[in-house]
Amino acid sequence: MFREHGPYVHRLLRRLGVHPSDVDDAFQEVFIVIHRKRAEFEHRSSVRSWVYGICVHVASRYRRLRNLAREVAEEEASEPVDPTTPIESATVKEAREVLSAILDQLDGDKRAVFVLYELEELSMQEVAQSLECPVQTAYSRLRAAREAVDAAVRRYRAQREFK
Amino acid sequence: MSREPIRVVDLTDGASSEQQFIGEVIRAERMGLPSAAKMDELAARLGPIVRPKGGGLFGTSGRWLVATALAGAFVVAIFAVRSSGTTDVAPAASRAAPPSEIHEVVTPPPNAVAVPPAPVEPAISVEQLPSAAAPSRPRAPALAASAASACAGEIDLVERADAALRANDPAGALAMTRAHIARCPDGAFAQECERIAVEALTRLGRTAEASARANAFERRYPSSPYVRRIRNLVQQGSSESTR
Repeated sequence: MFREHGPYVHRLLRRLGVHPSDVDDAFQEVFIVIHRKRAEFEHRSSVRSWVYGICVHVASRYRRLRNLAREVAEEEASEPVDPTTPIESATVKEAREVLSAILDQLDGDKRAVFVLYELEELSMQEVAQSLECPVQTAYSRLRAAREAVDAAVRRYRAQREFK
Repeated sequence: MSREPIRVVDLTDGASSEQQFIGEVIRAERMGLPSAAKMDELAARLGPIVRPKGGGLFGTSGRWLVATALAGAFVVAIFAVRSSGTTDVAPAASRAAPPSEIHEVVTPPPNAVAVPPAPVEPAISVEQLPSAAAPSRPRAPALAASAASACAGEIDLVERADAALRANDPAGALAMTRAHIARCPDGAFAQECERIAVEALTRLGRTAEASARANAFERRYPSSPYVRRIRNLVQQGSSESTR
C-alpha cells in the first residue's frame, strides 16, 4: 500500500492545497487513518478511490487548521515564478507553483473534483466514490470547477501581464 | 466510461486558450513526485505500520520488523514466566485484517513464543482486488460500536488544541488537552492529544514533565507512529534547556 500509493498520496496532498510545510504531517496522518480504518474497507470502491477519499478529508482538515492558525509566514511563502517564463518550458517546481496559484482560487469541493479527475485521472465513478457523493453531483461539480479554473487562468495571466 | 468528459490535458482541437494553458501546466507538473529518498524518510517516520512489499527484512522498515519481533518475543517470555499456571491469555491482536495488502506489524500474541522474523504475506496488487461492485456485507458490529462510543466533540477539541499549538499558544493547547482527557479519557484521538501535550510542555520549557509524559506514552503505545516524533520533541527540549 505504502510503496504503491505513497508517492501519489504525497503529490495529491500538495495538489489538494496542503501547505508545503504540512505535507509530511498530512501524509503521515493519511497512512495512520488507512491503518486504523483498514477493517472498515468493504471493497465497494477501488483501493485508490478509498485512499484518495481519505486524502481529501485529511487535506481539508489541514487547510482548515492552517486558516485557523493564520501562520502562513512570509519566509515560507513560495518564490514567485518568473512571469516571463513560458509555461511550456516551466520546471516541475514552477509548474507546481502556477498550478497552486490557480487551484487556490477554487473552493474545496471544486478543487477536489478537478484534482481527482483532471490531474489524478480517476474515473468519474471513482471521483464520486472518493468524495462520497452521487456521480451526477461529481459531474456538476466538475463542470463548475472547470469554469472556475478558466476564470482563475484568465486572472493569473492578466496579473502576469501587469508585472 | 467512454462518455466521460475529455480531460483538459487530452484536449486538442477546439481547446480554449485557458484550457491549453492549464493543460500545459498539468503536463509540466506531472513529474512532481517525491524522490525515493523522501519516501524512505516518510516510511521511517511511519515506522511499524508500513513495510516493504517483498518483505525486505533489512530495509528501512525491515529493521522495525526485527525490532518489533524481538521486543514481542521478550514480552512473551516475561509474560510466560509470570502467567505460568494461568489461562487468561487474550491474543485478540492476531486476527487477520482485510485488505491484506495493507501491511501491518502486529505484536505477536502471548502464546506465540517462536516468533518468525517477519513472515512474508502474499502481496496482492490493487488490480487483483475486486472493484466497486463487490457484494455488500452486513455492517461490521465493531464499526457501529466505535461510532456509538465516540466521544462527542473530540475531533473538534483535538483540532483546536493543534491549532493553538500552531498559533504559538502552548498554554492554551495544554489546557485543551486537559479538557480532552477529562472529557474523553478513552478517546480515539488519545495519541494525538498526548503528542500535542508533550509538544506544548516542551515549548513551555517544562522539560521534566514532557519527558515523563513521553516515557508514559511510549510505554502505553510502543508501536505508535508518534513515538519517534515525541522522542525528538523531548530531545530538542532538553538540549535547548541546557544551553
